[in-house]
Amino acid sequence: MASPKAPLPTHYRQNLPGVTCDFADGEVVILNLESGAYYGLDGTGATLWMWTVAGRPVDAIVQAVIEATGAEEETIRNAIFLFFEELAEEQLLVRADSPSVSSDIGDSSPPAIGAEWSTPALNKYTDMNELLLIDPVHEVDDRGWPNLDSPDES
Amino acid sequence: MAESRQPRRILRAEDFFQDCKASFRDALAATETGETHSLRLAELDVTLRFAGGESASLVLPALRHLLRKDSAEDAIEISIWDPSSGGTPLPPCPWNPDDHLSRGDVRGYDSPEWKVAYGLGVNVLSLWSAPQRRGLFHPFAPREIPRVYFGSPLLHLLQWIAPLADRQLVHAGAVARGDDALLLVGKGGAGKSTTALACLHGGMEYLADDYCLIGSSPEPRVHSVYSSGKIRPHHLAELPDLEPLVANHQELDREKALLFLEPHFAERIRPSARLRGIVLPRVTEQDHSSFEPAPRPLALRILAASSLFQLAGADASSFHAIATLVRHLPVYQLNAGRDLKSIAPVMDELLDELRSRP
Repeated sequence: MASPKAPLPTHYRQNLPGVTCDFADGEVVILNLESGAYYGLDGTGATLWMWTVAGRPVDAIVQAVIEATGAEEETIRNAIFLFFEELAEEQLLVRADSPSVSSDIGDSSPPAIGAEWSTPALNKYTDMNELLLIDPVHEVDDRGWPNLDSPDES
Repeated sequence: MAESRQPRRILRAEDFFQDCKASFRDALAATETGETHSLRLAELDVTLRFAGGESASLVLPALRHLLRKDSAEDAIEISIWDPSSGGTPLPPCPWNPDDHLSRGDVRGYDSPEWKVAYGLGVNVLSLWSAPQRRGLFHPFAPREIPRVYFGSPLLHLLQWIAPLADRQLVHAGAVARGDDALLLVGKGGAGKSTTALACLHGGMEYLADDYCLIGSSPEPRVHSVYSSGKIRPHHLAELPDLEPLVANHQELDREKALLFLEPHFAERIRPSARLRGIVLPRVTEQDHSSFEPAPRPLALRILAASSLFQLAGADASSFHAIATLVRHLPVYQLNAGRDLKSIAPVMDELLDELRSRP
């Protein structure tokens, strides 16, 4: 993960098409259809996700949080950077230098940022990724799939 | 070995589909035992056309409750054949072994118009042509496939067809009383099947234990897809009505018991019902069953992940269809007690409560 001292990208975008998200009762649910992991974000994390996948610049997000909470800029900037980088490590977000709007969230309104800053947390679930595991790839004979390589036929 | 990983022919999905369709036509011409069956799934008319072989006897039992005597001219057609049908063998699949992805997806063979799924563990090929409104289903060795697989046959094809009726296939069970239903949501082993079959045993109506279609417009609804059920063999003693329906006695040392509920429970298999709520079953050590409210995001996470991580071609639109439904429904956790007979009364009580809501 990059250091908080490193320059922030201007934007992060959703890692499409393998990542999709939707929203219910204040929580963003994110599926990584390629890894089989899924995620939940609520509170501040849900708001930051929705703002960034809606194409808002990182600087604007930082300023909006500072205005809502009155917290110190360095604290907020570092926390948001670390959060977005964690999402990038999970391959949910990708660094970008221009805005890109995900259609997943639609017109949903993000939860308001509370007057007291709370560090966003990503809840990750991997209990269903075995559904994505496939059988070992078998050897095949000259007829190609799905004819398995059989000693009797060689 | 390196050579066997090279593509033999570069074929587009459309070309491969046409080759496979020709193979089916040859099989149909070669057989004297072709048969056609019409079924209605949600608002869709589907014709299953079998070219002899062994597949009809394996595919039809789980779909028997959907069969209709009349056929529609504009029905979707699914052609089904296997090597024992005769005719020209299916052409080799035109992709490399390492093009097999998770969920049965095949790299380079998924588009809105053409879809391919290959079940590696069972050697079953499914193809869908949206322009032709036609599917192909070819098990390469049907008798070698565990019988329990045929509790939910044609799964990928039905997943691709469902959006034509604004419906989404999901990994969930459903039970009803009259036109009011509860959707049973949980990952594998959570207790969906046991809950659904315990409700059937307790006098409720049955739509699904594992897979069903859902939709939100014009109201939340669930549609039955399979009239089969699966249950852990040790539960059969507690639900003795089900014991005679077991179809896979020879597999019970390694598989769940597969039950075909039609025709025995024909009058209590419901094709469709209005959804009143979502229930997340949880097996507990308490004697009796109970329910309590549960968070909606929990239901969304489980239903979306357990459905979309196993259905070939499932994508963001599938997720949004699920989320739209979940946002419309209250969610409860069922604490399933050790006494399975206590489940149906609790589910009835919950339905009564939800039915009284405006």
